[in-house]
Order: sequence, then C-alpha cells, then structure tokens
Amino acid sequence: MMSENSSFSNFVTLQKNIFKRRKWLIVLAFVTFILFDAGFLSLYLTGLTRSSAIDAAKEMLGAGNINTVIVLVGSVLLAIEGFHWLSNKQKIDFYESQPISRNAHFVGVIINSAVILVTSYLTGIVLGLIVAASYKACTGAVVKTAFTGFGSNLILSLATFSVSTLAVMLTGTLAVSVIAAVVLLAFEPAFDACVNTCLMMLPTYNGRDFTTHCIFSPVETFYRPAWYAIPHNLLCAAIALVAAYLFYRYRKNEDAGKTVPLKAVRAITKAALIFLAAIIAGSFFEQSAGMAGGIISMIISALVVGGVMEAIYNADIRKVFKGLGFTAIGGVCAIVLMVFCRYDVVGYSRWIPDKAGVKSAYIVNTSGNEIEDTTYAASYMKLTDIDTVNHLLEIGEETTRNTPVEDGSPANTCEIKIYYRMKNGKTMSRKVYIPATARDLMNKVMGSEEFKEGFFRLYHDDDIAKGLKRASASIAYDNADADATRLYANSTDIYQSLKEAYLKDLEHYDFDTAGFKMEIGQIVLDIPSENGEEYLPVYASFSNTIQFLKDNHMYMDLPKKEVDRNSLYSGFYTFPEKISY
Amino acid sequence: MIETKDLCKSFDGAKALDKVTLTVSDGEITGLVGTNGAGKSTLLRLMAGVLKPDAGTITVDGQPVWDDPKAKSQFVFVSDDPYFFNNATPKDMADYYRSLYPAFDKAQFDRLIKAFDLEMTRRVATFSKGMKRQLAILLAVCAKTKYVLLDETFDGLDPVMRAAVKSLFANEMSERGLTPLISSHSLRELEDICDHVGLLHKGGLLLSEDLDDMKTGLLKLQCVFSDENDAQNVSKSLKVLSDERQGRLHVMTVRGTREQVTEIFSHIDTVFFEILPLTLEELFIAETEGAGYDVRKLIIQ
Repeated sequence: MMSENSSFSNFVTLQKNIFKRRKWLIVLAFVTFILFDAGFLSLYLTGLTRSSAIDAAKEMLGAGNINTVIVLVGSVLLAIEGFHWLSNKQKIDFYESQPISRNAHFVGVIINSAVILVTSYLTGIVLGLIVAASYKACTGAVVKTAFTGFGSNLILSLATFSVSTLAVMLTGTLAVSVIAAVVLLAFEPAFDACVNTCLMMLPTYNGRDFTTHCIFSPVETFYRPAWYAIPHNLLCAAIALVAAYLFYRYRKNEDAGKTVPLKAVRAITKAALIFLAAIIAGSFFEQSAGMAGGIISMIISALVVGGVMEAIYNADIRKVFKGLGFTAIGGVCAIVLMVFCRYDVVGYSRWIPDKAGVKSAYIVNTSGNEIEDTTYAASYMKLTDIDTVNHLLEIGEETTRNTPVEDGSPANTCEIKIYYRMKNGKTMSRKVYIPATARDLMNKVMGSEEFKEGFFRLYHDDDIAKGLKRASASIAYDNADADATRLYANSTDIYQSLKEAYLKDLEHYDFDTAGFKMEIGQIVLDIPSENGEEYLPVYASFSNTIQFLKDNHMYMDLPKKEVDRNSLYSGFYTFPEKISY
Repeated sequence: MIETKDLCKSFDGAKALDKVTLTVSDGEITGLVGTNGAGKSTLLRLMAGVLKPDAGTITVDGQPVWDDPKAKSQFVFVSDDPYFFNNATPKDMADYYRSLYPAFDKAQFDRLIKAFDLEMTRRVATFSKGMKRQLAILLAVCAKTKYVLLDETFDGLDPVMRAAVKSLFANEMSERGLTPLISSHSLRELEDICDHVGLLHKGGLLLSEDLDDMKTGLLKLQCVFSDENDAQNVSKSLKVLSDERQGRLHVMTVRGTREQVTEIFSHIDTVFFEILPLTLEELFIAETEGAGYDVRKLIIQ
C-alpha cells in the first residue's frame, strides 16, 4: 500500500513538474482551440439562418476541418517538445541524473500531452457548443458531430503523436526531429504516389495492382471510412509508440546533438529519400527530355539530395560526398524502376490471364463517375465469358502498347478497365484502349445481361427506390435544351413504370447503341442520398421509355440548337466519329 | 560508497574510459583530476547514471545506478554546464529540487542564497557563469543527498567563492557526512580540499590514493651540504625521487618517514637543512614520474 501511494505521489509530482515546464504550450493549446471553436464560430454564425447556422456549427466543430489541423500540429508539437531534452546534452545531464526512471519520464510525457490536448480541445468544443446554442444552432446532430469529430480527431492525434515521438527518438537535434516527423508522416503517401507515377508508364497499368495502401500514414488514413480509419490509426499509434519506446530504451544519451544517431536509420532514410527525389525528378524530366534526360535528372537529384542529407547528418557542408554508396543504392533503385516501367521489361502489358484461374470479370468505362461505377460493377457485374473478355483484353493491350504514352488516347477508341476476379482471391486489372474494330466483341460483352446488371443501377435499385420516396426527390427529363422547361414528376408514383419501360428497352442495349448512337435525352433521378443525381441515357431506339415519357407529359423533342444537342454526349463507350441518332 | 569496477565507455569507437576501478569512500572529498579529454566528465556522467557503461559496474551503496531512481536519490549531479529552466528563478529551481529530493532544506537554501549574494527572484538566465555554478552547488547541497558529484564546478569560481564553497562542504561533511566528488583539470583547484585523489589520463586511472597515505611516505627537503659527496651518501640511504640543484642548494623529494630522514641527516654535516610540506602537485609528480609520465604536462596549469 505504501509503495502504491508512493508511486502515485511520484506520478503526481512528475506531472506537476511537467505541467510547470509546459505552461506556454498549455496556454497555446487552450487559446487556439477556444479561438477557433468558440471565437471564429461566433463570427461565422453571425447573420446565418438557423439551418445554415446548424450546418456551419457542424462543419466547424466536426472532424476534417480546422480542429483536425490544430490536433495534427498540436500532436507533433507536444511530442517534440515533450522529449526535446533528449537532444540536448545539458538537459540530458539534468534530467537523467534525477531520481526518476526512464519509463516514468516516457509515460509521464505521453500522459501529460494527452491531458493537455484532451482538456484544451474539450474546452474548445464545449464553448463552441455554448456559442452555437446562443445562435439556437446547438441541436443533437451538432453535439453528435462535435463529439464524433472529437473522438476521431483524438485517434488521429494519438497516431500523429506516436509517429512524432518515434521521429524524436530516431533523431538527436530539435530541428531534425521536426523534419523527421514530417518525413515519417508524409513518407508513405509520397512513396505510394511516386511509385504509382512511375508505374503509370506501363501502358496498361491501372493504378491499382501495385498501389500500396497507406497503413502508417495517420493523415491519409483519417479521410477513409471510420471502420478503416479507427483501427488503422490505433494500430499505427500502437506500432509507432512501441517502436518509439524501444528506440528510447536503446538510444544512448551521448547521442544528444547528433542529427541521426543510428547508422542504419541514416542509411535507410537517405536511400529512401534519394529514391523518392530521383523518381520525382525522373518522372518530370522524362516527359520533356526523354528517357536520357530523365536518367540524368535522376542522377543529379540523387547526388544533390544525398549531399544535402550528409551535410545535415554531419552538420558539415564539407561532407556532401560522404556515403556515396547509399546515394547510389537509392538512385539506382529509382532508375531501375523507371526503366522497368518505361520499357515494360517484364512484359506486364502482354499479360492475359489463364482462363482456368479466373472466377469472373467486370468492365468499367473511364468516362463516367469512375469510383461509383467501379464500386457498382465490382458488386454486381460478373462476366463469365472469360474467353471473350480475354480476347478483348488482347486487342486492347495491342492497341494500347502501340500507342506511345505521350500521344494521349488513340483515335477512334474508348478506354476501359478490365478487372479479373481470380480464383486465388486476388483482383487483377488492366486499363486498355478498345478500337472500334472490336465492335463484335464489345457487343457480345455489353449486350449480355451480366454486363447490364453491373452497369445500370436500375437492376439493383434499393437505394434509388428508397431515396425517391423522400419529399424532395424527383424524376425529370432533360433534353439539354437550355431554353426548354424541365418537367418534373412526382417520383414515387411513376418510378416503377419508368423502371419497367427502361429495362425493357435495355434488352436491346449493346455496344452499337452505347458506342455509335447519340442520346436524345437523359432521365434525371434527383435523389437526396449519397449518390445524388442518377442519369439514365435515352436513345431514339428506346421506344418504351419514350412512350413512358410521353404518357407522363415529360417528353421533349430534340433541341433545335446543335450545341445543345451535342451537350448530351456523355462519352460512355462512344466513338464520336461515327455517332448518329 | 560509490564504486566503479572495470568501467569501460567508448564514443564512436574511441575509448573514453578503459577499465576504470575507483572507490569513493563515504565522508571523504574525492578529487578527479586529468586533462581535457581524460575521461573525468564521462566517469562522472556514468556515476550519475546519465550514461550507460559499455562494460563494468557502478554502484551507489551497493545499488547499480543505471536507471535506478533509488540509487539516484542518493546524489545530485552538477554538470560542468548546469541546466536551469527557461525563465526560472532560484526560487523556482528550489521548488523543483524540493519536489525531487524530499529532504531539501528550503530554510538553508534561503540563508545560503543571501550569504552568496544571489537574488532569489531574479531570472537565472541573467546570472553570470560563476553565479549559475554557485546556484547549482547550493541546490545540490540543500538537496541533502549523501553524495554530490561536481564536474569542474570549482573551475569557474573566484577564490573567495571557492573558499566559501569549501567551507560549506566542510560543514556539511561534519554535520551529516556529505561526500563530495569533484572533478577538475587542475590539481591546484583540489589541493587544499581533497582527501583522496584519482588521476585520469586517456581514459585510464593512473593513480588513486589517499593524500595522507601519499604524504606519509614522501618528503620534500632542502639542504646545503658541507661536503657535496654527502649527497651521494643520502642517495644510498634513502630513495631519492628527485634532486634539483640551485647552486649548492638541493631540493630533494625522498621516500621515507620524517623520523628516518631526520636520523640520516643527523649524521651528515649540513650548512642548512629543512623538511618542507609537499604540495599536491609535487606528490603527483613524484608518484607518476616513476611510472613514466610527466604529470606536469597532464594536469598542472
């Protein structure tokens, strides 16, 4: 009992001492949160209607806005300030000779930082809600948004703080700690972006197969759905904190003042940053100066970045030519990757899957809302005629390979992405240009029920049907005539008859329709849901749909002006040169 | 008692300490001397638990010091460049020390601050280097720990302040058995204060002895022989470590007791004979020259 009391007393004493040292940080945190969450909110809400004020309060107090930025910067600051004494010999002598264990120091700073952030943020939110209440904008939804944002921001903060702490442990000076924190927080997305930029040189690369999804980038992860972001950022925080603790235990106090004490960390960081710099330089100059220019720029950037890093590592400008081995490793890796991609050394763009290993496939056109279309197709399009899809891929790859990247899209083609669901659970994809000569194959694919089910959302319309029941939902017909008045119909009554008519017309829909016929109009399903508006193209051959529109007094003739008519061109699987009605 | 055994420490492959074995006995003032880079600060930082030894052990009253708050509560380490919080005053620092060392004597600190003519509420950042060192020493003494480890702390003090600090240590030693360990690059700084001195050179401990023991067996004498041949007779009877001549005056350092020397010289006809006290410097010269070191180059400035 005595021991427990003593431990608690020591903990309280340590916390008091840390708080005393961080007075300026505490003041800064409270002032910042109160200023933005209450002060600025008050200014923002002035003069707004109640509903606008509610929306504004939600925006200001929720996640993903100014509070997220404050939390991010604050976490980095708290971590670096909390452990700054590790980078100063004078302070090391002072703190490490005191009768406080290293564990207590480590845990003490973490808890102290958490208390500062949580209390200041919470104060800001509470005052913000009081301000919102004074504008009659403090609804349950606003409170919920504020506290949900509080939770997710705190998880982001924990991850950022942990990564920044790791940065401090890996470095030996304050300035380099800040640089290291930025590098660690930004490296993964930067690496992902750079590698993808390089891989985009592969003619049929779809930007998916090699994409390394960021795991240890709290900021990138934060903007993903909560089910992904929360566990990932918690995992990231746990890994970074454990690593920081291990480095803290392993770290030698005599390393204070050295920029990056651990040789392995120096080498890896240097090679990795040189790799990134070389890829960025190579990608940029390869476009304007060709491959030779790209490689020269990569060599120069590797030498410059390597030299700068050695000068920083050694705090001596004369050491720029030190450690050329790792400069070479980073640079050569970048050059190899770029050459590999530019010349498709392993024949990536000649790949055709073995039919026996494929479960099904789906195809997405790149002209529409690609993310939505891909998600829908991935769920509902299950093409089982793999021979036809493979044949299409073969033609597409040949067309794509024979088109130099810098020439842009080849004429008289449409760009599609073919996804294979492999039996081993993987999904492989290629992005190819399909020529008009592949009309028969495309008709076979797009004329199939399997394709239509994964392309038109009327086939799986639970969301649409649900959304159309709302009061603000409507169905309209748009013929793109700027002067025409749109006719809106009550959504719920006529949706089923529209669906029946449209699905009947889709029985004759194929590539000939999509690729070579001009739309005469579009049915707009204005749905107050996540998907927003849904467009259904109407062709001259869609007699059932046209009859439906006429029956409901929604039909309008083609606009007289050509410019209006052309504006209906949606680009889905279309070949402009051969379009007719 | 603070003990180090076979202590080794290297920095980037360069050996700073090589198998140093040293004992700091309770109730004595131990001095560590050596040139810059001899390893004094490294040894003190190891003893203070700031650095972790590559090999060997350090114990404070039998307890390993590395990352052990209990062992560390036995001492205060005053580095050569003591740290004070930004904008802190002596009062703030005293409050901090009081939170770390429960026996901290605030009343004594208040008295000493006045006695040393320091201002309790003035920012430490505005103090001179010497004043900062005085403050660091006062904080360390008032913490009432058993040991204080002082890294070249005396080197920045003026003679008056040095005398005051020595007097303070003497009081603390007699009242509560304080054991100071003081490092310096100059023997003369430690001359009149240490009971035990260790000489560090290039990471190794050349010598570690009680001054009383050293003084007991070594004598300095000056004499003028009536017959110069008697100088050789003295050499046969006593171990003469050095014999410097200025005209007919011999200044000799010899190994032996006062009684032995007096007895031998009672049989020799001298114009002038006198036994003089040995300075710490002369003791070290005598002790280390035999080992092939020129201690003048190592520590005397």
